[in-house]
Amino acid sequence: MTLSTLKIHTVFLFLLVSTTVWAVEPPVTELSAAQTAIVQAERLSPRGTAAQSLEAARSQLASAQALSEKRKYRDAADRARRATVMAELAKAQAELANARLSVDEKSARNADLRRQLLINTER
Amino acid sequence: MNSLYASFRLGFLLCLLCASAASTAASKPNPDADRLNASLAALDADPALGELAAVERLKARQSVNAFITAKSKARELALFLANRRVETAQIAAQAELLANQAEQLDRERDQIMLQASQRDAEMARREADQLRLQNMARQEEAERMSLAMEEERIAREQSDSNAQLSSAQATQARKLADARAREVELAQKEAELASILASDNVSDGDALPPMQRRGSGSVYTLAGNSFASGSATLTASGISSLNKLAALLRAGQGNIRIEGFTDSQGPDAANLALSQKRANAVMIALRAGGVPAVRMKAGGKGEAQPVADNGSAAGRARNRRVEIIVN
Repeated sequence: MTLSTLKIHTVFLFLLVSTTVWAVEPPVTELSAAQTAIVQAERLSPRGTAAQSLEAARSQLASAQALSEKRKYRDAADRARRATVMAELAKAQAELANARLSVDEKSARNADLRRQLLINTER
Repeated sequence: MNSLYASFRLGFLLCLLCASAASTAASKPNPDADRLNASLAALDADPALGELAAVERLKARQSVNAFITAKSKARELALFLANRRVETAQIAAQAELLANQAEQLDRERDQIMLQASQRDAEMARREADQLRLQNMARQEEAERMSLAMEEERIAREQSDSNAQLSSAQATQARKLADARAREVELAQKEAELASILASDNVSDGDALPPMQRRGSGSVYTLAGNSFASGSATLTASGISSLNKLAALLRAGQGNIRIEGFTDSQGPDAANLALSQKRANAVMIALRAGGVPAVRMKAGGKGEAQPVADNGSAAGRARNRRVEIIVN
């Protein structure tokens, strides 16, 4: 390998590395998606495990935002993705809890209605 | 030129190396991927949850695939994401199942309410029918009571009418009894008078003036020989006869009209005056015999209304008379 060839290889590698490193932009989309997922989960007023999941999502989002401010965009994007899935998990858990509560209430209500109907019919 | 070719060859070798590494990683056994795929397969096979949370299951499957193809540097993150996505898919499927159950319960509630409404409507209809029947019964009862009251009123009126009739009949019977009693009394008085007359006849031998019926009254005719000729002075037999008549009339209640008549002999004015005087004489004699003066009225007619021919002495004797008319 001649000197000129070595120079060419060096330049090529420099371009490759610089493209890889400097081409990463702030993870705006990931952060926005995480923020949206958290807001949607918060609307369901999660409790119990859902609240824990939501808190974890908030923590991940905060960490992602901090990393993004430090220009560690790749790590920030990863944390934002974690926050998104945690928020979606919290939302699903909250929906499950609410649905379970709703089913219990409606089952009890229907049983009461059936009992009243039976009583009134016998009367 | 040679150096440029060498660079491309180096890059190609690097790419080939990366692909080889990737294929090597993909072909290696991956227990996490197997576990995640098994979870998704179980979720798909679940008869209750298999058709639910399709979007979440798709995301989970994509995450699992991404994890399988992830480079070693990104595997930890990809595994985290895949685990959470699979878990989210399972929970979302359960939540959707419960939401469906809640909707089913709402439909059941609607069905129950419908049954209750139908039952209420049926009960209301029965109650309305019952009220209608009760109303009809009340109306019939009212009509029956009205009829009973009408019958009672008619019976009461009939009773009152019968009572009035009975009262009238009783009054009539009482009047009839009174009349009969009066008749008996009169008969007794007549008998007494007859007895008196009989006793009087024995004493002076004179009788009552002759009597005849005229309409509803009785007419006693005192003959002209009861007066002295051409005079208004009663003879003894005339007085006796009037005493007997007075005894008879005392008991009566009717009015007595006394009318004097003469024959056609002499002037009319003289005859009229004479007939008036003779009527007055009879009235005085009857009053003396006890007949109340208020019942009597005397008047002279003269030679009017003769009852016989004035051409003969017998006829003129009959025309000279005083009539005592008792009503």
